[in-house]
Amino acid sequence: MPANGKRIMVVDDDPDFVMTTEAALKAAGYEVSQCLDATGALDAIRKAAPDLLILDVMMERGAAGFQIAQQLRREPAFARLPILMVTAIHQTTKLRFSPDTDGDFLPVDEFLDKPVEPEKLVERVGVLLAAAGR
Amino acid sequence: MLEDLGRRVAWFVRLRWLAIAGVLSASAVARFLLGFDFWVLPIVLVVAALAAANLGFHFWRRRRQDEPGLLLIARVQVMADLFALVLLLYFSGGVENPFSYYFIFHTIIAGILLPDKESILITTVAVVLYSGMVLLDYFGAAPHFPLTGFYQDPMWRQGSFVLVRLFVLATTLYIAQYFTASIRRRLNEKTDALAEANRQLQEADRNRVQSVLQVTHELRAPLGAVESLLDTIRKGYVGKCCDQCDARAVIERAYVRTKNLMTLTDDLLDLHKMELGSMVLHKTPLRLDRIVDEVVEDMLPSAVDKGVTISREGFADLPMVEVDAKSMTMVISNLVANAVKYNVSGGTVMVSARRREDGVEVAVADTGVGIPPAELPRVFDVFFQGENARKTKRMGVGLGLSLVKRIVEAHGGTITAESEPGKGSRFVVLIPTGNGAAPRQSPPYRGHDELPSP
Repeated sequence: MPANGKRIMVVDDDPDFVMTTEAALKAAGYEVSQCLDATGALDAIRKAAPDLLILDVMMERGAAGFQIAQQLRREPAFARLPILMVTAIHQTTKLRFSPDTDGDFLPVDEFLDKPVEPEKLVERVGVLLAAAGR
Repeated sequence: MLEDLGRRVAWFVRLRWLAIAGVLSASAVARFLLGFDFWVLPIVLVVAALAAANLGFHFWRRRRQDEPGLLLIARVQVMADLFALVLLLYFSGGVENPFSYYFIFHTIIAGILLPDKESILITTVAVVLYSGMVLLDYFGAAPHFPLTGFYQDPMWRQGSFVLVRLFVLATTLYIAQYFTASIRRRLNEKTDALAEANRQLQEADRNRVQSVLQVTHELRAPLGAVESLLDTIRKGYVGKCCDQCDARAVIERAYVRTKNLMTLTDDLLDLHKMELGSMVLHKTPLRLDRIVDEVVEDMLPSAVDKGVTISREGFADLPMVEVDAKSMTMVISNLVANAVKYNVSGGTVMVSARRREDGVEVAVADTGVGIPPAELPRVFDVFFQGENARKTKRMGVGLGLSLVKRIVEAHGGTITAESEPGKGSRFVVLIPTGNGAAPRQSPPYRGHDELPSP
């Protein structure tokens, strides 16, 4: 595994998801920071200034993840930050959020359904980082 | 309703063709088989006019599908029919012609098609038109068209005959109108009640589907977490990163999620058993202080952790109540657990009891965060989680209070919630003693289900 040292931040109020994501990413050589609290997430992201953000929709809290993503896009420093959004809501609501169709509404780079397979996550993170030239 | 009116108007147009054929054949039978003598030509002319009118109704009906239009057509039709029948009778013996009773059909049709007042009006128009025709005839104000051969002596000049005819016809018509209108009213009420019941069923069904979706979501989320946790071990990601994610910690987390999932499914099962009434309540007479003591003892460690004190009052000499010990323990422990969970460090939980005329009241009050007024009416709803509940994620999915309410109600009791945000909440359970009121029957025994221990 290449120890590439890219910094990835995981924002999710499910500590188990954060743990598994962190394990997979660290095994792939990334540096991982985490935030378990939607309220303090924006500040934590600004402070950590990661190379890529993994963000949960956090439907239970009025889709706090959406708001975080939208706010970040308004800030010049994070307008081009790759955001990978994860969610478990697809199966029950049939809502399909996609950056192709909902690009204006949801300025994120990719969506993944929970639970996310570790290899898939690592692969997508690599692709997004490469595309962003980071 | 509109579709119904349209169909009825169309039906009456079809019926009128039958009536026209009926008049023609009845005239033919009377004239040629029975040998009565009357002028056929005016009869044929009236029938021809009615047929022309009916053709008009047929096309008019096709062009007007709106409610006022259809009602207008219905009114014009009834009036046309009344005039047609009066003319037919006039040209074939007047008061002597027994077909005058056919006015009853107009009355019934008006009673079905038109509002009450209007159908009374139509009945009155029929009575007035017929009486006018008969009286004009009687007083010689209009030429008489005889129906020869039906009565031995001409009756149309006999006052008593004319009066009795008019009286019997008028009463027949008004009574028929009354019956028709009341039957229609009752049918309409039944139809409305059925439509309302159907609407409620549909809504209940939509809610049920939504609830199934939500349950599925609530079951899937922890399963997904467990899958991810196991995957981390299975694929060897554990141990390559940090001290935090050793295999034991990962397994512990998976275990906790599985255990929560189990609690959730147990709660769901209880909830639905309660709903079906198939959960067996083994009611025995006991005093609630025993249950409260047990619950408080169980809760003490978590209360101490949180810096919350639990106290009791009013349990000294309570009357016995008939309750199922296990499910009542679930009720009290749910309420006390919530009171601890949503409390603040240094807060208190007060469990108090009070004898009331109709039963025993147990109140659980806390000094915690409270429930916003907007959320208060929904706290007993299945899967409802308030803002504060969502902040303490993964400790529940919003089933506890729904289950509590169902258990209390299965005991014939009530539960209410009151709260002041920032100051605390208070839940009051009333369990009837059953000596004043008739004791509630426990739900029928349907199997060997028992309440799992809370």
